[in-house]
Amino acid sequence: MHSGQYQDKNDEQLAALAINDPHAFVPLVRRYEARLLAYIRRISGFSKEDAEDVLQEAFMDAYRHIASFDNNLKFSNWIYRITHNRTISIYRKKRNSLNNYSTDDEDLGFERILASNEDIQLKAENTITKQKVKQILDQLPPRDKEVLILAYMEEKSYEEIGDILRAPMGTVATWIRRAKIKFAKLADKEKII
Amino acid sequence: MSIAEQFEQKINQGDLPKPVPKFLVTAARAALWIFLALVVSLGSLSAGVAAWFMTDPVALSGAAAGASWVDLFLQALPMFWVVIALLCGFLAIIIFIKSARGYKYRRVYVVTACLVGFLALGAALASAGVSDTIDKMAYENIPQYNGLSKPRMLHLMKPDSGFIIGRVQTMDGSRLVIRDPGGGVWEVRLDRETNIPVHFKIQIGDCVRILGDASSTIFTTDARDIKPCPRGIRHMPPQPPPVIER
Repeated sequence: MHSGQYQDKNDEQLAALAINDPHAFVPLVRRYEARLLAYIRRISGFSKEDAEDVLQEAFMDAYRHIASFDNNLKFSNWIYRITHNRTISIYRKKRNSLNNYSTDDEDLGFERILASNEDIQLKAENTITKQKVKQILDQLPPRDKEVLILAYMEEKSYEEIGDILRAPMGTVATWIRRAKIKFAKLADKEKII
Repeated sequence: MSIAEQFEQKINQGDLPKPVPKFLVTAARAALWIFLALVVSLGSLSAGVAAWFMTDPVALSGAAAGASWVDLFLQALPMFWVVIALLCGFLAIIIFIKSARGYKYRRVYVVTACLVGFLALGAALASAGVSDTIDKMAYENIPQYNGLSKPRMLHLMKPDSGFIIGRVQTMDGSRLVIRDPGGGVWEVRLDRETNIPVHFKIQIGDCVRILGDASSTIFTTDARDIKPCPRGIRHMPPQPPPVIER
């Protein structure tokens, strides 16, 4: 069967069909490759080529274990989880040889992180650069950086972040609150907010 | 070429590995839940036996007069069962958290639920009389269990303080002959002053605990108190008599 015939199916239906027909997995790859590529680069700082390699491996992992996909879970959370784990695993191996990636396509994400700090009475100034926000994110511990990126750049809910990082919602809320405070402190120190 | 296109190309060229079959995933999940059920069962049984030992009124009775409450508690604490229960609890928590949806629950809730569950199940099993059977089975089937129980037994076997335990060999109205865990045979003299619980009808083969006059030289004592052996000791198998070197 050709992958084009599956376009009208939702993610979870495609995942179920992919157990017996690999063509059903192709629309899933098509739907998620752009945002997962951006996500890999945001949390790891990998070059586009490296990020593509990671993503390809993540999709292969997902396909190999498609039978273990729990239909009670959203496919997007599951594929994010696999991609996240694969990225972190490779990131740990090669963190010393990372390139800085371009932030041109991420205006909205960075603005959302800044806007999230209004509740702790910090206001973004118009002069702030995306590069500075990225610098602050890079200074944060990995967990804080991941939750901020998932919450404000990927716009995931607490429940979705919990499914991706395999953590209870309450814990996710705590992580995000702490990460925001750390971000605000660093931003204040850097005098960008 | 996009990743989707590369993926499709692999399918068409037959380069894509086959996914893990569904039945294997189902079997692995079932095995995990069966293992969890076994761990919970063993943990509950262990917690039940531990609770049964620790709530033994005989273990904490005045027979060990002079001992502090801490000493009495430590004497009654069945370390073997406590360790098994803790290990099972730890394992059950890990398995549950690692299960497909276990991460959704806060660790503190999982740990609390595990503790409460083990204690509740254990208490139910203990009150159903299962703990006594398990203790007996452990003596019969685990050779090392006898050795593990010895420290508890030694607390109760201090002839120079008047504490003796042993299994009744023969008896009549005025005396008992018992064999202690080291194989020594004791003549225990009874009189009107000897205190025996009303519900305790001594029979040959019973494990009894004597509080009598201090004795360290001859195997004879005048009993002041006779009680059944505490839980965890009473099923201890009889020991052979000591070898006398000539």
